[in-house]
Amino acid sequence: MAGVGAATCAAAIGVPAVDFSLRDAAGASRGGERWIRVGKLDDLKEGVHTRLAVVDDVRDAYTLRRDQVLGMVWIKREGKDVSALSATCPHLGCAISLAAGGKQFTCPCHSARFELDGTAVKGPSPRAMDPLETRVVEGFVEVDYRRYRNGIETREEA
Amino acid sequence: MRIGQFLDDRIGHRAFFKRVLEHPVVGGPRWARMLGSALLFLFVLEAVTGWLLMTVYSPSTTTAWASVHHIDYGVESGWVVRGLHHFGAHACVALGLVHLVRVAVARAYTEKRDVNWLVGLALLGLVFAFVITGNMLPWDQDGYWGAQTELNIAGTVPIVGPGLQQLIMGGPALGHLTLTRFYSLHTGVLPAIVLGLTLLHVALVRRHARARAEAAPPAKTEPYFPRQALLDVVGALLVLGACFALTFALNGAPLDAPAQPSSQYPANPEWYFAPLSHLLGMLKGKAAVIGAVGLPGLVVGYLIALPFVDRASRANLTRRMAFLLPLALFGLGGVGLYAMKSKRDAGNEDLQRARRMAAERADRSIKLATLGVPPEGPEAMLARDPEIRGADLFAEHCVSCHRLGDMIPEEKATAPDLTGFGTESWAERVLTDPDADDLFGNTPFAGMMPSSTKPPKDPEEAKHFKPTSKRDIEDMVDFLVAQANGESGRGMRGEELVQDRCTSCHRLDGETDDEDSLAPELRGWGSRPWIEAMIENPGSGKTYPPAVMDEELEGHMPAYADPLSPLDRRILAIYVYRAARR
Repeated sequence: MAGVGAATCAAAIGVPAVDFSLRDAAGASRGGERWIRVGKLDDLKEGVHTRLAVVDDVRDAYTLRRDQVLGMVWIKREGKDVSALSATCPHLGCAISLAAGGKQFTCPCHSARFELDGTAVKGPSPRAMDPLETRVVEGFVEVDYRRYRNGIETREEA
Repeated sequence: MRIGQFLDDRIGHRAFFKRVLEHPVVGGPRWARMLGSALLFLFVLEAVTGWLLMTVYSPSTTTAWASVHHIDYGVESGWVVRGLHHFGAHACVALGLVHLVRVAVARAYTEKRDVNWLVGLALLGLVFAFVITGNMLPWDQDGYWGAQTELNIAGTVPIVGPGLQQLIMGGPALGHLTLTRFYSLHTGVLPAIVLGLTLLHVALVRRHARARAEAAPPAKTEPYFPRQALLDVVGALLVLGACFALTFALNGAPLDAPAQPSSQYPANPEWYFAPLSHLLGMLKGKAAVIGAVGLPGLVVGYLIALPFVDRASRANLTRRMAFLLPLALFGLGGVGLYAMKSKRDAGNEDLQRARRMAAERADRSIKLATLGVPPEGPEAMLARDPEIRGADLFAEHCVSCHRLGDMIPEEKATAPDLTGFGTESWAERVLTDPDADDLFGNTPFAGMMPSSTKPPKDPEEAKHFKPTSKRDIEDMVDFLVAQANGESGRGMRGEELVQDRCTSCHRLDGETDDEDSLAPELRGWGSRPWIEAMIENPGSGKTYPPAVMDEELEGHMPAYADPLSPLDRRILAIYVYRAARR
């Protein structure tokens, strides 16, 4: 009898406690598309890599911050098509920049190197730069911004 | 004492104190035994300073940094309390490791002390949990990015990694809930567990000491008080003294700039994580996971197994050294990696520059915060500051072409170096060597302005060339610098010279001899309004004429009227003006 009572008490506290701690308490949704405007198509020069900021409202549990920079993307225009690579290094998340000479991308944190199409060439990056979907709506370039997990070979959304 | 007797009849405390103070110590007092009680003392120090800090600290992303700033600058002796807490934590790690090594070398895990050894290991692990959770609480750049790195590594653990990362973060990214989760652990859960394990650890030590004392000859045994107790008190005083010394020598615990999730920060791990961090930096892909998880796992595995593998009551030197060899290797390896990292960091120019800029940002943030932090948090405070917001804007929009001080373009600069813009030296250089690589040599304007002192390359023109006198150069420079300082410069001799010699191409008060020339307006040159007009639209005529915005002129400066708000343009102009003069 005492054992059952004790077990009941433990469960009554334990079940909500586990639920509280382990579930995603921030209430944010994951996966799914997130189309964010990054700039005007006309502002992009043909064939040139440009780094643009991805700006959107961010919800952090109970706070809503407007116009936060979520990350950066490397954009290249080819005629009417726009390609985008995430500037977040797949190694440990630093910001990827253009190497001197403009023929490769480089990450300053651990000297990872990538070709201009994103392929990893040298250094600790486990995979190529992450490509992102783009579309042009009413003259504006939009990017389907996603974040991927660092440090692993496969591309998995974070 | 009558009150003493009164209480003792009811509580029975005298017997307890008697047991503590007369606890048998075999073999006499030893300095080595002082380590354990020094750690116990540190635990109390951390608890007391921690509780004090809790009376001011506020665990939310918008208030955490500001509350820590308040502790340091707004509360009497706040910086001392936080300093003791910070350096006390470092001391816990350092002494914990020394204690571990001491016990291992003395083989004090034999004769049924194996479980207590494990309890001790658990306590050391909890010390690391304390520092990991504690370092993030100020929500400054250093703490934020340190936690981010640690969580990224946690996320790479196979199978449980992503779930573990999510659990620790309290959500999909570092934010409010991570902070409060860490705070709950740091101030509630971890202290409770450590308290329990510490009591167990001490109880087991005493249990073994009593058993040993019964077996040992009475002549070799003495009570804890007074001699070992004295050593322990001295040890505690030394530790406390060291914490005070560090606090006063380094002006309290460090506080970095407020956390900015979107920034690039040269994260620098604490000394106890530095060796592992350096090792991981050298590995790639699967090897990095092995390094991050496997290597610490190996060390921990060895430590856990040690008392169960090395069971003999007595051991000769060879046997002892064999078991201690892995520990020595780990130790040397750690020291070696640390030395490698220090050397590499010192030689890394980019890293040193980034750290300098981060330190400047920290100083500036601390200064600004004394005026009061807005309720939206310190980020809002920084966004309104010309120095910090200006630096961010410059980094985002200008550094791709212009150099300014420590802000250096990643590729070759295709615009003039703005370092010293508006000062005497810059003005003099542009008069004497305008096509220098760091002035207009790499711009579409190369070759348009002749040098006032060097003859032109063309031999025909060189025949007619007369270099300007030193005095004339000085007077013209004085006039230009007056413009940059916001003075009118009217009536200066330099104004007359510029009117006579420069307006063949340049504009002065809108007037020029050559309307088609691309040379800029010199009235107000280099002043803050001039710079602001330049940013808004280089071809407005207030600086350069509209022809400079021609598509044919490849690599000309674009207008920022659209991408930047008027406030941002003003902030950027103020920043460039001030930074150029530093």
